[in-house]
Amino acid sequence: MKGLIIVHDVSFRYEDEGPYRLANINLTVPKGEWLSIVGHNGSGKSTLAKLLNGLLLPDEGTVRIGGKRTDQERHLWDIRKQVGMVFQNPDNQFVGTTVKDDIAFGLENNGVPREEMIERISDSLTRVQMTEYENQEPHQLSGGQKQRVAIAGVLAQKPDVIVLDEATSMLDPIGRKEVLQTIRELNEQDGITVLSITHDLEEAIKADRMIVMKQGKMVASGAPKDVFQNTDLLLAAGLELPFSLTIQKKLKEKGIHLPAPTLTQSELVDALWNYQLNA
Amino acid sequence: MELSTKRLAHIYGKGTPKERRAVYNVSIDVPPGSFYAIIGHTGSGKSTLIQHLNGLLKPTSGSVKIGGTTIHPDEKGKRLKEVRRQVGMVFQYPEHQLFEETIEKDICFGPRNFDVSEKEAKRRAKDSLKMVGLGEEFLQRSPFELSGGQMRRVAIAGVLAMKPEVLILDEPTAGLDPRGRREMMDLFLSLQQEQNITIILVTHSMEDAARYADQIIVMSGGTVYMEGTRTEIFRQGDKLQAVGLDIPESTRFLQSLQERFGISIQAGYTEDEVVEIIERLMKAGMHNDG
Repeated sequence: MKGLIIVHDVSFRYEDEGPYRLANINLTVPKGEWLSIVGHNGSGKSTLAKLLNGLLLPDEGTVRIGGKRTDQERHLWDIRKQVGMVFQNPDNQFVGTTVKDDIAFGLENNGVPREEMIERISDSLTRVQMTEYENQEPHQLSGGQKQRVAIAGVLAQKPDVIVLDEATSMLDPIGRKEVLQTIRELNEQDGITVLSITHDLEEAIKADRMIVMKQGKMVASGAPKDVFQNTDLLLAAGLELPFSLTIQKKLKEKGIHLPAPTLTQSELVDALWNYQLNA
Repeated sequence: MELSTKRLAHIYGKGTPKERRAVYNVSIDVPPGSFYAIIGHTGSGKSTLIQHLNGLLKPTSGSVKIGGTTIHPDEKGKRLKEVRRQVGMVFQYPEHQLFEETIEKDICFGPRNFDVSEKEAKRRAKDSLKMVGLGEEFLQRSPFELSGGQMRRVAIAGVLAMKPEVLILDEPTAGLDPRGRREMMDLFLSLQQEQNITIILVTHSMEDAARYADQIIVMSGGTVYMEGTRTEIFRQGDKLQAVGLDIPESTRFLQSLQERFGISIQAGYTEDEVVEIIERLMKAGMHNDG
């Protein structure tokens, strides 16, 4: 399979004698895929994310983005344009004195002409619904608003891949839905590849594929409906089951057995309806 | 300890071109020992409101009453020191504020600033570390060797060492994994129930608000939009969605169950409550068929 992102046998540790934070990771991500990466804190998810645009370099193995190796310095500039990152805490990501300037900063660094710059800033702010804040100082925004501006900053770079490192964890429920909807549009319409590191299993369910990390190793990979079959593995990886699966498991303890795993609320409602019809 | 606001308003940059009204006409009254949740869309004024509750901000108009102290707009800074001890504030990502070389020194820093003796401060460090679920063996370790969740517990222990009567928590579970999140929330519940500390939780999680809070305040556009128990708040899903909020998934689920089965179902918030409701529903269903 030809992949946009190819992680080959990668191991990584922060200190020479320290423990491996990632061990023998192999991962191929085709263009246009939405991949969710889940796991407990400290499982290596964020380390993996930082290896994808050369913020960290593997101790063993290679990471290739569109065929270019992250450990070859001449490619780094291109790779970082190709792979946009949005981190958990947006406070550490601002440089400009206004929202507009902040987005312009990244574009100026890449030599985007002024006319095009203005257009890209306005487009990306529209997509995250922050247009009316373009002249505000970033530090005056609330946490969720800052995060939307950070996402706009990445969108303006027109990346091939967006890596979201728990990027929606500080948004309120509706804000989270809006941002995910925006990213879904970018994924479906523009074919942008999305890697989302998340604790939100409801979000992971909607991905094309999900991988589960545990103590630096990949312990599961596959379509969400298959991965969620193995509830013991998910619990052992320090995750909590989605609402519908939790309820199904608890019902089983009470003697109410539903035939197939219910990943979503509507599946659970249907399963209960059928259960009482057949009772 | 009394904690209330009366027609509180706060305007940032008053008289400048950047003037912005952040909160207005906020009157709340938090009884001692209660568990309050404050929810609201980003930018709804939650952060500005809580910063008044421990004297970090002074009202532009109106007043704030904290124990025996009433803070008016013209307040001098000096009297606020005791207020800041009584009302502990845990900001978002409090672990970023750790700085000492050992955990013991870090926790002692606050009490020492309030003229607590070194011996007493060390005793409190041990006690508050225990309250957050970490053992004595952590005292001499560097806070920077810990996991994110542990670092956050140490930061919270530093606030508890001031012996506050009220603890204000600004999205205290952001960035933790689901298990860490639940453990952290259970910690706050135990502080309320066992130490009788009033908890004010600012959260984006409707689930946490429904599961833990006695009373919920909904902020919108800088003022109180709704206030009530979880049942009173979450039965008004449309009103919440109008201001960018939502109902907990348990509530949403029971609503769709109600629609599908065409019967009225009582409200439930925890997973166990939901399971109980389903159990009863399934039994009733069998009766009808028989």
